[in-house]
Amino acid sequence: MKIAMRQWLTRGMGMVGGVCCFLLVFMLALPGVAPAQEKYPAKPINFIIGYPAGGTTDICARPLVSAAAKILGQPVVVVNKPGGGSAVAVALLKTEKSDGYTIGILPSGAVLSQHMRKVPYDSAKDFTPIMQYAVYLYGMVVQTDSPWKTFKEFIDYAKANPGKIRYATAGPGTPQHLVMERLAIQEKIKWTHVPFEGGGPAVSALLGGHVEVISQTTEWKKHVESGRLRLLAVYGEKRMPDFPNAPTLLELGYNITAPSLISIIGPKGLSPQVVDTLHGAFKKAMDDPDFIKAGNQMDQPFLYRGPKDLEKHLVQMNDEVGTLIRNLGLRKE
Amino acid sequence: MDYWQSIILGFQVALQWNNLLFCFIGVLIGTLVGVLPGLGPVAAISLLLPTTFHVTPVSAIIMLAGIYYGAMYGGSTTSILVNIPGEAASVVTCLDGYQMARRGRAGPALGISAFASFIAGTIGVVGLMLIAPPLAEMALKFGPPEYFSLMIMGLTILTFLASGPMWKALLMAAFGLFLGSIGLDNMTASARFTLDIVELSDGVGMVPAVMGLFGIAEVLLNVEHSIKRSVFETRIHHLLPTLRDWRDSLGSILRGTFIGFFLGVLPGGGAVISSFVSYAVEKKVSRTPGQFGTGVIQGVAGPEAANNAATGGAFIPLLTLGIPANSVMAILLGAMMVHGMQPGPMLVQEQPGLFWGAVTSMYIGNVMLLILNLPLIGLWVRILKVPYPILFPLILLFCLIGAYSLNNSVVGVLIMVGFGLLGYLFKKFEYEAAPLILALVLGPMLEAALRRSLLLSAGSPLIFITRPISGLLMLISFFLLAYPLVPWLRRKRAILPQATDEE
Repeated sequence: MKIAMRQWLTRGMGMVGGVCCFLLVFMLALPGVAPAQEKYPAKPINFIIGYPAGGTTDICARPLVSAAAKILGQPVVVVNKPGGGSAVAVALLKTEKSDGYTIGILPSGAVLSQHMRKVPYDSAKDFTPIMQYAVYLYGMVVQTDSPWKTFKEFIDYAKANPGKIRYATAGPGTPQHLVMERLAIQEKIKWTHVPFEGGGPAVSALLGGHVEVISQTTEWKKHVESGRLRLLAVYGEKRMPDFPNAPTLLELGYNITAPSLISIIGPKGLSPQVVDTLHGAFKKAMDDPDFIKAGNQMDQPFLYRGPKDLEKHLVQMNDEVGTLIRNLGLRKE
Repeated sequence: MDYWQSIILGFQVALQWNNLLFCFIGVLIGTLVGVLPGLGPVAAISLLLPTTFHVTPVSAIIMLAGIYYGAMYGGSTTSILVNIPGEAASVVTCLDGYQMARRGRAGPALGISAFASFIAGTIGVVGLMLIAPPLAEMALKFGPPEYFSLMIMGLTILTFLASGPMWKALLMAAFGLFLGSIGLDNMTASARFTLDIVELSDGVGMVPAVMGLFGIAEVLLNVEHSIKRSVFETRIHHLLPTLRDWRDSLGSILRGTFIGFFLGVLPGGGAVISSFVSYAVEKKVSRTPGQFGTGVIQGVAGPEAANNAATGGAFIPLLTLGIPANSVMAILLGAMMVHGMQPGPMLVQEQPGLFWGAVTSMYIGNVMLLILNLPLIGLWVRILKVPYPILFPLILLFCLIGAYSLNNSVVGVLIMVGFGLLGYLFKKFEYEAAPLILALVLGPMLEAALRRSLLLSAGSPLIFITRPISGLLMLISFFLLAYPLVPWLRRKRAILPQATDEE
């Protein structure tokens, strides 16, 4: 036994030791093994996005996050947690430690969701607001070879054929879902909502002909430009600069616009220093040319609100959409 | 579709020095876990997943893929020299490989398995390149009902091919589906089965589950009965096969490649199954089937080609549909999502650098593996002599660190240890873990596809049968499920030998 052991030590130890050391070093380079109690941020920060990679939210947030990471001097790791129109990600964020190492995006979808059904968070109370940086633009899109050339033709068809139209969105409780529900009430339409986990899969479903229409943020842009899809209407207060021919719902005679918000939040109880550091970094990151380019490409207008303003805005937005949804009777238990 | 431009783009990405380095690390680790019995690619990839968070997505995928096909190369070495499969896909290589070694032909056996792996691996990558982009185009035809039926078929195939009675495998798949439903509801975000444990709201993590079921359980089992290893001490010579060896085995290699590739594409199929099928086919076409098991070179070349070609095929459903074909691909899917990529029909178009970079890196990796495996065989043999009392605690340590570092939470560690004990019991009572893992990963996707399909059809389940692609997939699943009920067919299925450990 002894001899065998010594033999092994002399012959194999170098190689095996090398391999083991290599693996060990590799494993120790993990996130989170860094010692605590240092200047914030002392280790990588997780950044939760409630929509899948490749959607408007994700494409625009990534350059912002990497610019902020350079300013913070620590990696900021994007984690996509799609589901429930971002409500899953926001619910998970609520349960995270408020040490500033996990933050994420609060989009309008997660705010509206809490008024349309039961979710395990309150967006006005359960989080620490950090910064708003943008709003969404939305539109209603069909296939180019579909029979509907205009919004009116489409609505007329939907009214005449109850239950025939199926529309896809990035999730229940999103503003684009709410707009469809409001149209349905106003025009007495019966149509079916098919929620996907993000805008990309929703667009794929339309391209594959599995649904008739999508009501969605700008994931459809390049397909509309290439002529494969047709934009019928947009939900903002003004027309979109890149698509001047598509009317707003206001112009079409509906008193409907989609509420919109993309903001960064952390779990409740982040210390003021942490909020300051993060807010400073992300505000500066808004000047990053890659971020500006992504925002322009995806038609995601920038809109800045600091922590205090955002806090007020969240309370106000919850009040407004809460009242609206209650009055429309759209809350489902 | 301009293939050349894409391939050039791919090589530009794959030949960047850091990607070359990660490719090398991947195939090196892959060969290492392949050589070492008891450690498979599933455990290795899930163990090393957290370490890739800091590198670019392309590098991460290149490295993780390297581990997978590297393990297929390394596994044969142990089978041939020690008669213990280094990983599950090399089980059949033991049959004739070890006999060849006993007759003093260890060199040619190792040589032909390396060359067979290289040829099959390369052809598999070419197939992946040719088939994946057009398939991704077609993938838009896949709506929620088709996804649902495809996943059902994948699970059915896996349970069908599992060793032991089918009801056991179905039970495991059902258990996996249940585990997959833990967490926040994917459509409404309400909590299910979380027992008010905060960490469970994100679901049972796949990585701790896999590390427990494969890593910890394997260690526990091996502690119980120590593996006897008698490594050939003699010098291994004549690694390069002779002309006669080539003539004997070329047909087997090509047949094995074909079988492996197409079984790899099927969800639920994979390296393990294809190696068995290839061995059976070789025996059937041979003029001297009685010789198999006594050291026939075809019995080494065919299965080794098959398990390597299968790795190329297995990437196709993942990269084009976003559906993992086996548990290794399931972990890769997780890895890609961590890195902000959504594998699916749009991947080839939207991330051409990533797609082609990863695919072309497999060419380079295959060349590296040929180099690693031929001249360095002596080195791998030496690694085989690391005493288990040193190896096993190391594996345990890595599992514990890995599980903790996922979320810096003890809950991950507890989940892993729990699954380790569960995995040990599963092995003892001969329940296979593979259907569980695949079901755990597919569960949430399966549920979302089911709910969306029923919304599309206004509640009618007929949508799964009336849509042609979905109907066909459902029909296949139905036949596979009905198969064991027919007695004379049941006997045939029993011939499929025991295995499917890692797949």
